Amino acid sequence: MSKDHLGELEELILLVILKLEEQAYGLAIQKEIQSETSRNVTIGAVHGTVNRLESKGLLESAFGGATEERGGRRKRFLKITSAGMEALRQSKELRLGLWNQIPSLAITKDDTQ
Amino acid sequence: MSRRPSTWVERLIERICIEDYSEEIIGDLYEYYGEVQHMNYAKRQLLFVRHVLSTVRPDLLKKPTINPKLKNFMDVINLSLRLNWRGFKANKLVTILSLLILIIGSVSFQFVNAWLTNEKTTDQFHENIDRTYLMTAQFNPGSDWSALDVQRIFNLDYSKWPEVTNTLKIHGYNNGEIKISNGQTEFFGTAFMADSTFFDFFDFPLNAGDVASFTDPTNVFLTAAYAEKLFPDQDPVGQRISIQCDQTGEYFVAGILEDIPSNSSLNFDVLIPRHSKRMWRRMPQNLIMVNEAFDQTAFTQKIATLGQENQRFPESTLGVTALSDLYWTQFVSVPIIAKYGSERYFENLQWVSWIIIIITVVAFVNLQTTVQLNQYKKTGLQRIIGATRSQLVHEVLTSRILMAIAAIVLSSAVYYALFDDISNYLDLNLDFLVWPSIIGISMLVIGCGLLSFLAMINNIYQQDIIDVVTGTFRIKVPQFQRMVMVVQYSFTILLLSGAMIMYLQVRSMLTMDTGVNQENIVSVDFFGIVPNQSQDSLAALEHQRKLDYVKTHIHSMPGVTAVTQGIMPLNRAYQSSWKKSGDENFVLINTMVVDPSYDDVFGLQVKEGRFFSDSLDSNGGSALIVNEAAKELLGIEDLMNARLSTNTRAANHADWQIVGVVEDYHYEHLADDIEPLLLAFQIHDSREFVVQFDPNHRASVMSELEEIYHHVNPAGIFTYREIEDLVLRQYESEKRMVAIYTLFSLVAVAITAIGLFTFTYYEAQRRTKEMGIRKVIGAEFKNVFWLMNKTFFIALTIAFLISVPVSWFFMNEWLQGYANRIEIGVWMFVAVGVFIGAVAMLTSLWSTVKLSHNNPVDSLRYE
Repeated sequence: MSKDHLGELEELILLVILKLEEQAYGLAIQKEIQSETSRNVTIGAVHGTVNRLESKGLLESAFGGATEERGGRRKRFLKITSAGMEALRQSKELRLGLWNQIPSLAITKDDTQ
Repeated sequence: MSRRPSTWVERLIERICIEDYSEEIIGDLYEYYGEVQHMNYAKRQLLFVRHVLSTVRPDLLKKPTINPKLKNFMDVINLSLRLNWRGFKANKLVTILSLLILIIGSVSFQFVNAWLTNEKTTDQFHENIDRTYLMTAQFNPGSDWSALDVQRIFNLDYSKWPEVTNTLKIHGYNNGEIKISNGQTEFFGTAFMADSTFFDFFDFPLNAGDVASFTDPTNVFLTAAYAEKLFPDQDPVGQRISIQCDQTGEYFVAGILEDIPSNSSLNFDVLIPRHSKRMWRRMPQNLIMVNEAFDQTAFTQKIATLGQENQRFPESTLGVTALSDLYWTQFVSVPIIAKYGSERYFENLQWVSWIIIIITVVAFVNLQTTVQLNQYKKTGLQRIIGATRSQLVHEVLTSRILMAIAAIVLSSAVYYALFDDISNYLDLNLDFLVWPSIIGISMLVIGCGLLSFLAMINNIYQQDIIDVVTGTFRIKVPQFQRMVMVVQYSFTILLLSGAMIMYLQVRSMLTMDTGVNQENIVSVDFFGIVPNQSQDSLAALEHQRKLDYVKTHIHSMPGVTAVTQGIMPLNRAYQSSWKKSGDENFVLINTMVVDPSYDDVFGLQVKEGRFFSDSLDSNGGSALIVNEAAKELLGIEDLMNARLSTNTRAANHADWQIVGVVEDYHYEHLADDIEPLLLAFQIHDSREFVVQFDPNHRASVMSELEEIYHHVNPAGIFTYREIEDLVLRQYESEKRMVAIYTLFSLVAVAITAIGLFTFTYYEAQRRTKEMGIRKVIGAEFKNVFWLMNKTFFIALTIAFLISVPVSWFFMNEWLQGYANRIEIGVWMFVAVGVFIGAVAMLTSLWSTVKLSHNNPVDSLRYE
């Protein structure tokens, strides 16, 4: 069960990876989260979460080329697996479902404003 | 600017992070480091370190290789904590006792260590101390060196000497020689009148104000503690104070110095610009600062004879002595140096610190080994079920680390809590320093931990599983432990007998009949600093009025049995050169000035002739009294015809007549024999009054003295000195030594006792079955008791035989320094032996009695 459940940072990171498309790697994710949410997430936190997601099978990765500003280290680009997409979708549905059960705060109303 | 973070980051991450991730994380960190280059250094580094540290998290850490079942390092730590907690619960008693040994040992060590460091670093906080020298001079080849105002006396021009880069003159006024008033109350204090170059020589840090303002002659600097005394409720800076010594003046407080640290040999409360008055009557000391190329030998040769150009001192010699050496050598005694060190004392304490280290380490390692050997079954079983040796080592290592951390924390707390009491008791005069204390404590604790760790590894590697399984494993306790016990007890006996002999020597010095009354005598300084009478006739008249008042009232006080004006007879002699007329050479003889009632107050016995009397002698006259030793030294046979002459400048011409001989009495430290002594009747009328009183009237005498004092000094604070205090102060350093030895020998006894207690405790556990069998076949309590305690009785005996001659040798050496010494008796060592034996018996009694009173049936069932 826990495999399907997403933590908040996990969900955020998955979404950011989707948004970054081909350019999703550790530091890029960290910067994107910072600019989108003003949350100062550490590099270690990003990698720790990514590692967890990968071991859950929600992410897969492939090494890119080495660059000079990285001290000759390769980037590891991340891609969401279908299980990852499924987890995100479930998470969204769960939330929407809850929102919609509260008439005064129903999401449609919110959107029109 | 480097765009690369330091390589330790790389190494750290490669070492601890999962391999798949370390490359990427390092890459990210490098990239990040490049992007934050625009920020300022501190912020950039802080951010970076934060990111680096964030990678130390369970998700990213490698699996530890030690045990594949553990997920990561966090688990390792958790597991070791749990294991150690279990170990602690199983061996509560031993763990607590081990900690106790470490705490007692390291706290005692740190007290000694702090004092040793304090002494070693004396004055070293002045950056230029090694380039600071004190000018000295000697008037005749045979006379003492003294630190005079050589520049003025010999008319030297320091600027002609290229080696000398800076000069400083300081007049030192000791406590009691200067009064400082805040406008309402007068306080005594110590003062330096120094040139404005003072802060070029010495780095005393300032709390408030600026050293530059010391050039202003209306400014003074106070130490923080003295400022607090003068102005308890106000900000002292900017306040007006007035001073009164041989000069009077008004000043403003311009700066507050931090309290003088305990490792400063210079000490003062007030710093006054020397240039604020045209002259100070006190002889100043001349300090010079020299350049890097300075060569003391060459310089001394160059200046040695320069003083002879002054016609008054054709035989004089000039010299210099390094200020940093002066503390240890006491080459000259100068008022600006508040305290001197003693190398002998320093070495003595160094020995004490080594003994503490040895006893602590030995006791701790021994105790831990005992425990481990008694757990050989447990470790054997661990090995059987698959534990490797390195896993056992790892277990021991974590337990050592945890114990060391606990010991350091607890010891530091205990040290902090006891600091004031112990340093007062030992009279150590120390500042409490946080980090050096923790470091000192940690050194001993870590040393103990490391050694016990090595000993335990050794045991683990020697242990053979087969022996454990078959039960043939022999614990090699006896030889090792017996030796260790001998070492411990030898040192303990050494310390304890030393403490005892020192105590007996000091007690004998304090209670010995010195030939001088040493009770019920007080001295009061009514006049303190007297104005320069030749310059101020009004003040002189006022002084005469006060003197008459004191004289008439003090003699008529009920309870007063005798009064003399002058000084108490302890360590107050000065040396001057004398010869019998007709003799060739002058000899140096101790001289004191007294008045005719001196013999009544101090109970001197006149052997020949008479003592001074008001009717026959005049103050400042040329009559002398000698003691028997002086009579012998000068070879005087006929008192009537003996004439003496002296070479001091003022009295060169005088013919001195000896009018009496007094029986020898001790006027110096009892370490010295009674030296020849001359008494002269030359009492300045501002001298303090010394009053002998009937002890039954003590209270009324003291209150009347106070009344007289306040009549003469309306704004002053009444103080007095008692002869008993002077006697005690004379033996202060010996008493301090006794206190130190007593305390630390008790520490040694305690540590040894703890060690012995654990030894017998485990020995009893180990031999329960053996003793059960012995009892079944008829052994009685006394047999069991003897069997159990045989080991340490023998160890104690050997230790005794080793340490008694050593102790006798060292203490005999020490006693040689005392002209009046006690004899070392056999009973002293017997007493020490009985005491240590009794303590040892008591500690082992509990385990043995329990064991020998066990029901043999229960004992046999054991195991």
